[in-house]
Amino acid sequence: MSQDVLAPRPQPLGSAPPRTPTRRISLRAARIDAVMRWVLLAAAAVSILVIVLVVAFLAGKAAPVLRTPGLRQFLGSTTWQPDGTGGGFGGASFFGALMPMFGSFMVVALALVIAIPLALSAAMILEELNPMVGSRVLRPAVELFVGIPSVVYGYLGFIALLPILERVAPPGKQGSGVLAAGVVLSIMIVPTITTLSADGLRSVPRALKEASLALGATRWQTMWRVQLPAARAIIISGVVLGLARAMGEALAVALVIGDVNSLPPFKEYGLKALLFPTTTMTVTITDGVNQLAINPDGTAARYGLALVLLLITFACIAIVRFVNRGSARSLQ
Amino acid sequence: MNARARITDRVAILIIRGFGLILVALLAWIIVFLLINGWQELHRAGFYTAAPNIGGPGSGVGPQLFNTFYVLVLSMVLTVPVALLAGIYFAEYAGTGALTNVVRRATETLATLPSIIVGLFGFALFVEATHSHPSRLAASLALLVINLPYGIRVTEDSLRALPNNLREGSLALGATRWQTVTRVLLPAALPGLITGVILIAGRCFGEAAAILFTGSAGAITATGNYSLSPFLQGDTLAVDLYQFRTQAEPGTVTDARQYADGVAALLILLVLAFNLSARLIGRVAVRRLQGG
Repeated sequence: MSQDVLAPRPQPLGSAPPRTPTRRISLRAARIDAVMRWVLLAAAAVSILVIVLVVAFLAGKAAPVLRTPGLRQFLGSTTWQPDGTGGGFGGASFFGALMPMFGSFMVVALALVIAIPLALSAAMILEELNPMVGSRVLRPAVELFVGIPSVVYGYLGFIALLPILERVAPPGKQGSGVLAAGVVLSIMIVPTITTLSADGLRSVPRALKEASLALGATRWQTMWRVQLPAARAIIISGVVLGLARAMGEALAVALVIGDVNSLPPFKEYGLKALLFPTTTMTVTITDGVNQLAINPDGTAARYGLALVLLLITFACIAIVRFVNRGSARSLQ
Repeated sequence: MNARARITDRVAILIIRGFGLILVALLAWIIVFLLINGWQELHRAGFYTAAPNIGGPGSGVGPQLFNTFYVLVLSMVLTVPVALLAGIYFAEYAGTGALTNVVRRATETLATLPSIIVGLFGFALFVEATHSHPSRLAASLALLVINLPYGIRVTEDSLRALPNNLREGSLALGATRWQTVTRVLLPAALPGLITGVILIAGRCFGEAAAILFTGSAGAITATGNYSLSPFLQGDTLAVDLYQFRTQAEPGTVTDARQYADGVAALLILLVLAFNLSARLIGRVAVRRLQGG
């Protein structure tokens, strides 16, 4: 109000600045500036608000299951019957979430085993072996890999990978299981690991490489014993972020894992057990989407799984921070 | 010893190059395979206009396509202002204090949240807590949560890439910080910002888990509803592709496989189109800026 009196011809925002800046108008601008500082901070703080709300909501919604059957059953049993026994929603419910958790770890471990060699190779080609070809072909390819929707990877696994696996699978099995899920996930996380590993290799001082080559080491020895170890912090970040991404992927895995809450029969079938349908945390959460409103107990149990997944994600972020102390902005 | 090292070197590098070749070949195969499979649907006009036909032939993705773009636009309308303001804060205002650190870490954490967690959270907050049902608005809000950190990142990077003498010149002329941002920096950063917005919009096509929980809750957009209401429930292309597994069961969508092939190919084409146009616009804009 008072500034309207002070400034006879107020300058609207966005018009050209006054030719002769008077004290009054710059006072008004200074006020806007001070207000905007807080508006901007508020916008930046939306992230904090969301994180707090996510933790609060997941914990709150999971509380019923974590309280009455208890954490002991949730983390210690493999009997997962959140919808009650005997088909209906009555009966006794069991909330043993051990199997989905174990499934998630198996699938992610396999995905990392496949993805790490591919991603490290791609990074070495990009930074050391063929930078020209790498930047023309491999880098655009890796960027496109990121762009392909995860559901499409899952669908590809369903229509192209499962028929192949079905042929080697024990009779009666469609090929869905840990192997199919691991392969699909590995392709999805190669870009993450590649990008960060390439960043890491680029950050290694040239002098290290030259010294190693001058001492008579081969290119492979230089990469394996000098450059990769020197870049290990960023490479580990890439691997951990890839792990987090694989752990959190839901629909692509749901299409190829079979979604059966049972342990693959490693004792009887050995490695072929990887072709038996099983489940993961994200898949178990997803298969409850149709009962969100009608089955409160089952839904609470799924919020519990989401809480476990959230804690694992936080742990991954903490590891990345710990590995990269000092170098900021390493995520993404 | 020396000979052995040399052989190891050769073999290792051969394997590395082989892995690189596998990756490139795999990508080429994925795109060609999807497009060939979906070709039959892609050049059938009814595919883009008809609705999924339960129990009959001639299914189309009309409602899904409309819903996909609706949610995309609505989520960008919600995301861009917040991301812009927050990005400006990080690039131009934020100091090195504890507060900035906490906000920055929260943003990085947000970027790592699994889509399905955002979906469950979005269902709890945008659907249950507001006593409503899954809707386009809830799905768009979930996408806001997912895309916000990327939007902030794009804004911050575009502003940081500007030369410092722009800021110094403007401030030396007596402009306030905010005037500098709105009249000098944002116009100069526009090409980067536009490219970033298109890239983020492209990400929306692939988002499925969060929308499954907040926007469709398993429902298929079966009837051709092209209403503009943000409170409608329905699935997007990506969610529809996920539901292929249940659609393939007998008694649901006829020609489910052919239909899903079409959806997958269409998704790939949309993603490619957005990626390429973002690059093209970025390149043209940079050239114009440098030339002018």
